[in-house]
Amino acid sequence: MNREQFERIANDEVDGVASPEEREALRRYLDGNQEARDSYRVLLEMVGTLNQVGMEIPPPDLKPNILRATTLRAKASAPVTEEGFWRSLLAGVFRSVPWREAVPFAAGVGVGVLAIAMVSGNLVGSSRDSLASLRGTMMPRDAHRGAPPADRQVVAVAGARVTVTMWESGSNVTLRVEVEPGLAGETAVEITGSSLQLSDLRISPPGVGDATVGPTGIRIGQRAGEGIGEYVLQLRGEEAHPAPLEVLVRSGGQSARTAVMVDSSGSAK
Amino acid sequence: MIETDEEALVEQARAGDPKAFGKLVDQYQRVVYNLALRMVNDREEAEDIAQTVFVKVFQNLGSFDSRHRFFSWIYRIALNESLNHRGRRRRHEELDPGLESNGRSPDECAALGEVGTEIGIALMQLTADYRTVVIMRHFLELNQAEMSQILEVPEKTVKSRLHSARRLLGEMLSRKGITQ
Repeated sequence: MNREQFERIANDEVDGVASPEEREALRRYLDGNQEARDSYRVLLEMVGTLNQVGMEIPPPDLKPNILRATTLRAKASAPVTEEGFWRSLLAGVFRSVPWREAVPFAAGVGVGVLAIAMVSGNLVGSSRDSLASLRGTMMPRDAHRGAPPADRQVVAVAGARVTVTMWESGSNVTLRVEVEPGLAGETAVEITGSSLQLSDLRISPPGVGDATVGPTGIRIGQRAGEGIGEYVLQLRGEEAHPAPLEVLVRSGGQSARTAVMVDSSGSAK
Repeated sequence: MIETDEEALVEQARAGDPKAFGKLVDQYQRVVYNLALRMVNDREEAEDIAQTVFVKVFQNLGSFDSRHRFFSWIYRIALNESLNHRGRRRRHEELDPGLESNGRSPDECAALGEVGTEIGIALMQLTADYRTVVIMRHFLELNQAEMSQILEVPEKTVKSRLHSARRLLGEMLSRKGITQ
């Protein structure tokens, strides 16, 4: 047995895959070779040390954070379009109506739906405000719709451009983060600070980028070539006029920081 | 867990059952977290990676080919995510060299008697290929056939990488006085 064969068989023996013949050959080789015995002892000791370290228990908040992130992601990746919303509403209603009565019933429902839609403003031409690009995602009737933003910050780092717009309504905040990623790698946006809780997250277009919720804040990641992504975050707080939110943007090995906030009176800065 | 139970869980999770997905998280969070931890040698980053892995699993369950084994799929996602994360971090390390050893010098680690920390630092000095096989074999306790399936390389290659990695690691640990 040469040195190379010895190392191979010794490693196989450690992994429990050496054949009985190889095991016997190894035993004979070790019996007559002090240097090989030392090498084998070092190997066994190292493997023993590695095995002794073993696995660590994950942090207790890992699973809750995962489930929270996936729940939000599920909401975000399945935006309800206006068309889809009305279709699902009608489908739900029709399921409870006998088939023969469906046609006259549909006419009645149609008139009713039209009336509700006109009253709620969904089919009425609304002003093309700064949220125009969110049309079709059936955003809730946010307090900020049509209202001027409380703050808007633009951060440009290594070819990436991130625009953060904030609307504030009492203790609730809506953040719109537009991410135009850099030319290579990932552009990451980390939003931290304040005691606000994320209650809803919408990403458009669906499938772009990635948003995760951690113990210290929210992280958005978008890779080069994914186009411009838009992330609308609904945040709830306990206090009116919440503290500033810190925004850290990383791209191409560089980073820049900004903050979005309302002034102490709660009005736009 | 019996494989058919896991298959059923995966199917239920694919159908949108959050409890089934929660059980998959229970089943795999330990290995995913530990794989990430040993790949990047940083607990906070390992937690971030583990979270991202499960979000990706959740998002891509629909495209998971059930003819393949779920465990090798999730391990592969975890491995790729750790390697990508490591690549991203390496660029930042140019600005912050202390990250490599969690901010502690090797002497401080030795003084604390943290064999695990020393091994973590030594692992980071191996190439990603070598580090991966050592982690899979000794921390996740996978056999060579499983490693071959996850890494999509022949068993012979797994074996060769493992032997070389052990030789290098043995030399490093010996120099640090962890082994004789």
